[in-house]
Amino acid sequence: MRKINIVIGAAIFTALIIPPSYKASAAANCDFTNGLKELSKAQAVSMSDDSSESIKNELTARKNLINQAIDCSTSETLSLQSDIKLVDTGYPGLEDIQNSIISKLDDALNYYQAQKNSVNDLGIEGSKTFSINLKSWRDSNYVPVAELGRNFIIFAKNQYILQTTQNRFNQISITLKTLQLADNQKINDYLNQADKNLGMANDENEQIKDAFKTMAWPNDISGLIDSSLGHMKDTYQSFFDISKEAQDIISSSKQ
Amino acid sequence: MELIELLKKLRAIKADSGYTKESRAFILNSGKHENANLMFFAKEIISGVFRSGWSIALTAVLLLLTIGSFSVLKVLYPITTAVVDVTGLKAEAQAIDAQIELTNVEYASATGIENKTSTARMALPLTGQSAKRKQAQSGQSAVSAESTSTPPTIDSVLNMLSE
Repeated sequence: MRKINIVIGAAIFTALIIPPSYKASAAANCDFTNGLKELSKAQAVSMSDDSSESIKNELTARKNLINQAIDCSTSETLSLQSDIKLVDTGYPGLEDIQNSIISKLDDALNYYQAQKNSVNDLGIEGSKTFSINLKSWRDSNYVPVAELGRNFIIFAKNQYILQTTQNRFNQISITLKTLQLADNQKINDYLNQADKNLGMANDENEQIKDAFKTMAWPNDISGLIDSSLGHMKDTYQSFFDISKEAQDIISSSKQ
Repeated sequence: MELIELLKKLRAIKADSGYTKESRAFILNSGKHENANLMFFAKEIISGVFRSGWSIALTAVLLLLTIGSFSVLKVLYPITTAVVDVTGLKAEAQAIDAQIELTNVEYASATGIENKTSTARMALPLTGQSAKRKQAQSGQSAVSAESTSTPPTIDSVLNMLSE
């Protein structure tokens, strides 16, 4: 019984200390070095020897690599899908976008599974065509969804920041009115600037949301995310300016 | 015999109903009078405190106004923290900086993958008969995994396999 406890404890400890990246790579072997070496060897033999044995060896090496590429693609898709499922969708419109991306990634997983079932029937030339088609499918189907998915994770995190910025703006506006500081020219200018930047950040946020809804690709989501974050940063710069000005007024009124 | 009859009559003697009611009311209300007195004193004390409190407060306000150093900002100082809370503002601004950094890292890693793919594409093996001839001369195979400095990716492997 004690031995069992030790084994269970060791298993839990190992599971906890192994970094997530290792766990992900352990799910599917995405190191192609050995497979490519095998193919290299087989091709070297088949160049000088046209026997069916050498052709068979090259085909086996090719099929192994194709299977590994599909397994790795599946693992990559599952990992991204898992990250997207963890996103906090407590903000309006996020859940629908999340479901759309998850569904698209499910399509990718189904495609990979279907492709894997046909690898066994391939010949040397067939393996080349298969690889071209798989790469082409990834370029036009997986890459866009993966990019949308990665951007969605960033976008979802931005919602909290945008909400915090909006709350802070409201709080500052009310306080300035209470303290009768809103009429101060400098403070008023800073507040208007903050309002303008926050408005632009909100507009860009809505544009990103629309792009996600239509799943448009190529799109400018990355640029809009950058710009939206930049405008939020500028809004905080105005908050700092307001803070400094207000502090000066308060300290001068104390004297 | 007369004595017995007399005793029987005595048993039937009752107090006057008016007197009974009066007495009962007096007994029952005797405690309440004490409570009412206590309540009265308590109310007096509390209202006295309030009266004096208001007086003090009013005096303080008048003093402030009289002396002339009265300032709304001083009285409302705790509210001003929303404006001058630099620590809170910094923390929130840093969260934005961190998100910008994270976004840049995400984009850089995505670009890195593309670069790796293109690097692998450049290191693609020569194919066809001409390639076979060249490789036979140099003694190299079509796929040279060791020639790439970066680890091969899914897409770079598929590119190699398509040749």
